[in-house]
Amino acid sequence: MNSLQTVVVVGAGVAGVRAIQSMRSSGFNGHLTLVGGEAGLPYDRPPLSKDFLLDESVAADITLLSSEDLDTLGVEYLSGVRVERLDPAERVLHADGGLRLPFDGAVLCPGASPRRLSCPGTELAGVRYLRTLDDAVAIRSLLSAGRRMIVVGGGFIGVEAAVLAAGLGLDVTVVDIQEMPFQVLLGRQAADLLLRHLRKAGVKFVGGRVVASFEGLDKLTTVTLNDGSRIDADLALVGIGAAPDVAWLAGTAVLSSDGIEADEFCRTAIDGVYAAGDACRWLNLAYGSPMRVEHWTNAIDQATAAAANLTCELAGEAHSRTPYRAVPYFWSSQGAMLVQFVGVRPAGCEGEMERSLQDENRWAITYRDQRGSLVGALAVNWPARAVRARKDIRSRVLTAD
Amino acid sequence: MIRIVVDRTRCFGYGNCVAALSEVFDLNDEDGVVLVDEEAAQTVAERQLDAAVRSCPTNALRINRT
Repeated sequence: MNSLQTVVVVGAGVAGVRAIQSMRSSGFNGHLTLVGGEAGLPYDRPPLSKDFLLDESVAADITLLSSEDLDTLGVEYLSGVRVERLDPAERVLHADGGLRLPFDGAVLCPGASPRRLSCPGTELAGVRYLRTLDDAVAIRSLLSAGRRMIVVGGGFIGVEAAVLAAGLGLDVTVVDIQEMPFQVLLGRQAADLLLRHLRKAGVKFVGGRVVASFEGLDKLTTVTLNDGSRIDADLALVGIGAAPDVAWLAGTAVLSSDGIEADEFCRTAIDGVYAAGDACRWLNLAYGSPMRVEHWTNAIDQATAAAANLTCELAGEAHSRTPYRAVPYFWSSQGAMLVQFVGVRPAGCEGEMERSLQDENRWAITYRDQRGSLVGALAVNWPARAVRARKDIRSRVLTAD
Repeated sequence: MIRIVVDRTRCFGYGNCVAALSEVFDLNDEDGVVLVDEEAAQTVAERQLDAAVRSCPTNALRINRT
């Protein structure tokens, strides 16, 4: 390995952080730079829609790396620097302020940004998206002063925040385009049960509707839905999904119609340029098809794999790279309830219900393919069941080619 | 000697350690909290153990090497 080689990791979310750690643990001893678009030390996002909204003391806890950690790793960390362009021919990343970052290898972990609503009134104070630490700090202060909250979009981030706000005593309504939350993702049976939990937590749910407009003088006071109904609210949290942050890569060969395109090694169309995390669509040999997964566990596993593969390529040992195979997994904490999902749900499959004999709040739904093999599982308040399904599915799909 | 130190108050049964290294980690059927096979932990590769510990979303695991 040539110690004069330079690797640049773009994005300082959990994927970027795991990428630099993996570069070092796999033996890369050259120059390593981590570029993050936000100011401050790299931090972890999952708590932002959970405890962090309740408790300021969680703030210190979400830091992924301290300055000492960065020194120990021998990483140059550029915070608050936005990468604006990739020049594949010159092998240079161009950042704001005219900064040029030449590289031998790169790992692109730009992440994703919240999808924006285009209806009138989104500029009003009180209408917020949740992605960054700054977003979460702003929402926390709105929650402490607010009385009525509307959550637009019944995804996990929105529902987590809704349950938490209801626990604080706010009057909370979730508005979702689907009839029931998580219906498309998990099927009607699961969605119906999760909706009951949501209502039991004190959250109102309005399904099959979208927001027509946000209204107020300068601050939000009322939300009008597409059926003309009106809901008073002083805070609106919009959580309608995320889109890969890849506009800066426009015109390069690394882009697909859905994020950055990568092969089974997480390598893009450009030599020595790898990708990982929310923005990366790679060939997942576990399923024999391209996949893009916007979850924490995939971000860390994929970044670790991508960086290890880049280390091999830079050392002239591309033949010893390992394909990154993954079984999707995510969790969601909704107040005291833990939701875990592993694998995939075959289209149209409603799954089979399982209840714990010991605890009525524990249940699971298992999804099987046409051959009867377990391919997905949803577990609620039942980690042992989730992990059993996860081991089962992984042992089957991760071993075979 | 390798000891895996578990902060039980931080373990919520996410199961990433089990997925990473099921030879060493499992979850308790009852409360879903992590179980560690200390003997197996002595025999696995250091890098694998580090990766499994690092895969915990809540930093509930720590390695103590003596």
